[in-house]
Amino acid sequence: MDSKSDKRIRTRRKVRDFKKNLPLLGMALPGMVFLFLFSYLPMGGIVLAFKNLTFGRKTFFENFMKSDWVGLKNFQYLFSSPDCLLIIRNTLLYNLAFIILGTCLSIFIAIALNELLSKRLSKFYQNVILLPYFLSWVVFSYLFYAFLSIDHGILNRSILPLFGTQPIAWYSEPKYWPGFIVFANLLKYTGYNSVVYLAALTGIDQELYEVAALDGAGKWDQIRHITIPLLMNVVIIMTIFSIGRIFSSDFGLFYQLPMQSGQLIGVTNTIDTYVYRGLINNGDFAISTATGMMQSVVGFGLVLITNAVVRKIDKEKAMF
Amino acid sequence: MKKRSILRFIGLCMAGVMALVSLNGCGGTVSQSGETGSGMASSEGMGNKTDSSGGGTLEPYTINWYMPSSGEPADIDKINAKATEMLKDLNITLNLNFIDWGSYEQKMQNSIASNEKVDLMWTSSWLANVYDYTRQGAFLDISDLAPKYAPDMAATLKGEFWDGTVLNGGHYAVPVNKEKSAQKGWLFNKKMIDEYGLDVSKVKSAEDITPLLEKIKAADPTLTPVEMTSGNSIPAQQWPIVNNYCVLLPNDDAYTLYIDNPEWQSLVKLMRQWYQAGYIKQDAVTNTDYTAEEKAGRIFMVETTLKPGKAEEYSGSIGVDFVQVPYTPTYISTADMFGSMNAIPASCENPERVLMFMNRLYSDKALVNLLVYGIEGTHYTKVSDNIIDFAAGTDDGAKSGYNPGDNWMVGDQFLDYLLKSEDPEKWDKFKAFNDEGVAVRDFGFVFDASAVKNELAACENVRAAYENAIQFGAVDPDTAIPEYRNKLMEAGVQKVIDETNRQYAEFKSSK
Repeated sequence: MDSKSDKRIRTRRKVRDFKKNLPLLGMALPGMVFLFLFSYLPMGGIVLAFKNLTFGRKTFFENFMKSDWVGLKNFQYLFSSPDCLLIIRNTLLYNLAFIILGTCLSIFIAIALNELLSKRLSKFYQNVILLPYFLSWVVFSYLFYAFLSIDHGILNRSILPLFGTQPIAWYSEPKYWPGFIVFANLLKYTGYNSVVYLAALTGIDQELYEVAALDGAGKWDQIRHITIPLLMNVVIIMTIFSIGRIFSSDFGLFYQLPMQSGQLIGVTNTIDTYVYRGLINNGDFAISTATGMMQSVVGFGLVLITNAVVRKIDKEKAMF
Repeated sequence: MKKRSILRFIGLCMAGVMALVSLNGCGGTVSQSGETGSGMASSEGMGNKTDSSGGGTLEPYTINWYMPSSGEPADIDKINAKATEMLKDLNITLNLNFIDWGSYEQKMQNSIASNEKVDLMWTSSWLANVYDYTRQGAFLDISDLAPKYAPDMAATLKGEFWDGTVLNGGHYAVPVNKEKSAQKGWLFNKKMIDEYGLDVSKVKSAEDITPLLEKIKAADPTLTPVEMTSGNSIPAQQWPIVNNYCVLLPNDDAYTLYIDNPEWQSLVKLMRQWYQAGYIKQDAVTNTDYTAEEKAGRIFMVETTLKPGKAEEYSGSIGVDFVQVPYTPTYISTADMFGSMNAIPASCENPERVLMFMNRLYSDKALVNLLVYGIEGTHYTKVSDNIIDFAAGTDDGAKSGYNPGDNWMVGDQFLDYLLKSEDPEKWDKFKAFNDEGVAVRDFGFVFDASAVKNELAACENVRAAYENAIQFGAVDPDTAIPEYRNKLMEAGVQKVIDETNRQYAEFKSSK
């Protein structure tokens, strides 16, 4: 009897909650449908990673199902290469640099913007730093080219002569490029990320600051003891998401920005550009699927591990 | 507590958005397909019993033909309607589709992968790769069907075009009947020749050009007179290269690595000299587009593949006069046979009917010219029997409702009318040029890359790092070539060479 009524109450509560949250759920619906259609449905295609796709049968489905199984052969491609370690190193190290520097810089900018007294100025700066996010890498590559071109570039033409330095062939000197690539990535994404943190900052109760000020905390103390701890949740979520993509790379950044200069390949070749260069001539769906799958599986594993670590330290802050 | 959950909610929302964006961003491999195909595939009847000789009426059949172009012409419906009218005796409805150059590759891959209704598609060795489609079983072998259903086509292509396009032992794609010989050479800027008093008649090899460049550079030090792009650099052009790495030199019996060729090495050294002397742009490696400088008349030489009238054609498109100077004899290579073809996909419902249509492309002058130049009076006007001009008000074809530039993609090019601006003897010269050509020793040999896919992919990455820089003279060849060679060896190029020689031996013994 008791448990039955308990159950009923629970069900009723669930229905009530559902009704209460209906508007929110409604808002989430298009996103869910989108997610299902474009992220879950195509997952069936993972089968391709283990097949040698051939065509010529009556229907698409038949092509898909009746192609020969080749086991892990499609994965060999990446690991049999002598450049394997280099491209994995490049991908991982660049991503680590992006995550660490990007997060620090975004938080710094978000806090700085938040502390600005003039709201109008704050909005203005916010827009200015967000702008690069909407430029494609192709546009970026030409902006950089305008600076770095050997004979017409602003650096070689106007800036280096001021210091009496000889012109530098930027596109054939690999040593400068890790810097350029990290810089370009920060330029493009910092604005966007700092908006995320800014949104979180505006949610912090102003009373906390007022109380702290009464207790004699200066600006720096307030930031250290109120702002940053309260931001940690968002930071952790964002970081876990970035770690999920640590094995993937931003193709445009690594392919377009160096203008595909061969001499820079040692420092700009990542897993994605490697696969692209290797397969550009034969459009092998199966190998690219295998690579994509490997990147996702490793990323997924890392997300689980990171989350577990966060959980160990502070259960409240973990994502799931 | 409440604040906390709000914070969490905002965070989750943002994270969700990010995830969506990123997932969407890497959706490149997701095919955007399955809109049309199935509806047509289920149409019953198939019409397999149809016969070209049988006098009975043929069932209606729609042919979807795909070709790349710079966009869909405005009057495409009129052309399709008119062609359908011309094909009434075959009861064929033509549905010609032009896909943008940039998206043709991807679009066709997706169409074939998803079994859309494609009855005929343009393919080649350099775009929409015919070797790969064939290897993946996407095309139909028409060896047996062609003589029966397309006798005129088979007769027109007899010889090198037919024998040289055998893949996997069959005919999977049909070449367009056009120039088949090739000759490497240079285009020289006529104005500079006159202005600086240069004598190009004595130019027989790249070395002979050095003094000319010297003169130009002395007269105007701001010029970088040599154009270098990855496909058209001087060292890259001298020998037909198989799978990007193997070359069969005149005195060898087996393929060798192209960078081991002493002549290639000496050319590379010459390029280094040119580069250091400032004849080649300092940023040649990243500079891929010389059009603006060509148009400004600041380029002296362009490396290219020649054919009769190439200089006139080029001058016309750039607006600066060039003259052509060949440096190799005329030869017929396998790769040139695969330059422009049309293939019937294996999923085609009724290949016999498509072949009957293709037959007309090699015999029906009116139909070919309709597909190439459009409708008389609307898109072009006749000047004389075989010579035409763009219709008035079309701005020499630029504003025409139909000017897809597909003359080299449709059937028999020798059936095309000639434009007023072209050499009236163009086709005779083409024919003479074709007759002059001598087939290369490995003519007909096509490399199948499937056994060394991994090695080739690794080599491609090495090549991307070194080839242009070396061939453009941007790096010191004495250190760069050995380095390049080592890296290629590490990537497994020896296996590629061995496989090439194995396949070549097989090819020779089967002949």
